[in-house]
Amino acid sequence: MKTLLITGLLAVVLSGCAVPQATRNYTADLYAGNVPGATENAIQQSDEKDGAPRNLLWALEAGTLLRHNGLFERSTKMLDGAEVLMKEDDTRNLAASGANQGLAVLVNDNVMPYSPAVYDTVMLNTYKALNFWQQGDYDNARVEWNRTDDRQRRAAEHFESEIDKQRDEIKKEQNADLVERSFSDSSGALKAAGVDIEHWAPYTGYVNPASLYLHGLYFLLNGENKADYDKARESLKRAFALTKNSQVKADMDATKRPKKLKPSVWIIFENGLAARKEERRIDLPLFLVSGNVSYTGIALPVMGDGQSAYPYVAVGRQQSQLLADMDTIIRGEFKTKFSGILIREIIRATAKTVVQKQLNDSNPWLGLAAAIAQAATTQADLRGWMSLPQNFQLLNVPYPADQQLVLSFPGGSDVTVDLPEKKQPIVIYVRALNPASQPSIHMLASK
Amino acid sequence: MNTKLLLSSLAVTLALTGCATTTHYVDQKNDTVAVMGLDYKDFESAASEMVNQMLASPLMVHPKASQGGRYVMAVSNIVNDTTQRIDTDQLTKKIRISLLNSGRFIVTTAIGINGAEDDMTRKSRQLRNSKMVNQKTVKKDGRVIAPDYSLSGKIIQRVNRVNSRTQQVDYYFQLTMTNLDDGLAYWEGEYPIVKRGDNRTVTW
Repeated sequence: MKTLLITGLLAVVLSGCAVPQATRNYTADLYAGNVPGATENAIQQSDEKDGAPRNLLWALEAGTLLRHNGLFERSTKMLDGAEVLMKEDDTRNLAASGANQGLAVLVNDNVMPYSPAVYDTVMLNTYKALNFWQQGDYDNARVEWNRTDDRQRRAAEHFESEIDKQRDEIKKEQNADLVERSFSDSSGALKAAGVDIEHWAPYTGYVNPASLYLHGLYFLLNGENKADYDKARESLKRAFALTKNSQVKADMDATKRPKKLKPSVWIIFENGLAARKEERRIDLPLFLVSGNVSYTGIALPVMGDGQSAYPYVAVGRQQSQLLADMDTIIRGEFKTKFSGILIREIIRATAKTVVQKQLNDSNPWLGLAAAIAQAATTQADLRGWMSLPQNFQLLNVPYPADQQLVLSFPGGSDVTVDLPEKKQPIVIYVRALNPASQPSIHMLASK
Repeated sequence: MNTKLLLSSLAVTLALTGCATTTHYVDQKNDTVAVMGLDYKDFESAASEMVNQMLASPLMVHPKASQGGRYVMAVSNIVNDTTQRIDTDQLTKKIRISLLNSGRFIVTTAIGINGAEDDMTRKSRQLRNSKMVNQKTVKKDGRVIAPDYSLSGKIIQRVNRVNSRTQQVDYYFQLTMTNLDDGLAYWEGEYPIVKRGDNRTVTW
């Protein structure tokens, strides 16, 4: 039976690989500016069946890049599919996920289905709302903005209970005492390895100010009645409190007299690629049996830095200003999950080391095989939505008299956008992944 | 201990893959299954309650009702301000049917907020010079009836947390009948639907 266990462990080593080949290709394409290649890869990996994706993370990547390519309807369909998968993740049968969790203890978190971050859920509905707005489908855009709003409300609630849940996880463990001692002793080893998460502060209430602002701007420009303008004011007020961006304040003030809003151009600049997780291997002392300490390596994900495409976008001498820093949002949320990840990693390392010792006692060859399996399966879960931007920026300029808007990217080429002849409030949505690829530029008309 | 864990995990996974729901008809009168979103039962109850309120209003009676006089109603904008992707026609259609059956209202399909619901009223008049069509049968101009009332409204949603496991979702169906002669709202109604359920996931 023990041989079976070892064979099983070795067999799942491959499935628990930290970075599969498809992800490596995708990352390389994305960072080299090969958008068509990355899009095709993401669609393929989303594993569509009867028009619905079956892989959540890849559906998010595909939905984002399809938007970037201007294929809004296809993007919405992909993101709709992703939303169904998110719902399944929320309500996944505990018994069924217990089986996966059992496997995850033996291997690593990569064998578990991707569980979305809260900011993933907010961005999913934000992108769908923007897709519908782009297509002039104001009824569905409104529904998606309402969903975005509800996601943000749920975010704060979610994080309140997250910390308690993580501590509870230790109590459920068979080796609870040993895990607790190792966890309490971990901070020194983490600091020595350069893992210091203390300075990662989220926006207050774990809110995404960009989604909040876009929600407000949508209802300012497309509002139908007082209730809509109240909605706009509330969102813009909260967004201003978080960002202190002067244009957000101007828009907030405009909600008092929405009918007198002058035609102008709002430029939303979605800039670069967001922070990604990187693996850090750390030697942590594990308390195995009372007084008997063994050193085992654990693999932890830590957050790297995002990359901006350009420092700003400019129209004449006016430059875009920061609206929301996605890295702050991602790191802030990661910080709340870090203890949980660390606890699970200690549980996993303890369980694996206990098995390794028991096998070694009965047969040194089995012990050796278990040690090899343990080393190979110790891998951090580095999955995350990669095509999100590093930051969102905002710029508002007067409507050009010649209906031509010239966007300048520092170090890149200028892009001229033809605006409608009839002066109106209009949003130009600019997405630049990196200087290696052309920015995508789309116009969002007001109702 | 880990072998046991592995085997029991396997057994649980196998047990869970064996279940499937078979298709069956729903007894709509005694259906007690509830979802957090809006379903046919919600539209049914909202429409019938609001029609009853409307018909009970003395202002909604045509002065020549006893001689068969009826108001003509146009359907204006019904805003879906919820998180559910719903077709507001589901609500208005039920209301229209009930109002028509009451004998007090007739709905125009020739005039609507975004153009006619059925453009054939206008298009059939374009047959005026057609050699193919018997001209005596072509409908005359000046016969389409302008509406007396306009039906507009909104469906809104509020979500609140009851506790960590339960959330409450309130839907409000709000409708207004505007007299197009003077622009005054002659009837207004609100019908709330409240549901409590699982807080693990979103309501849509």
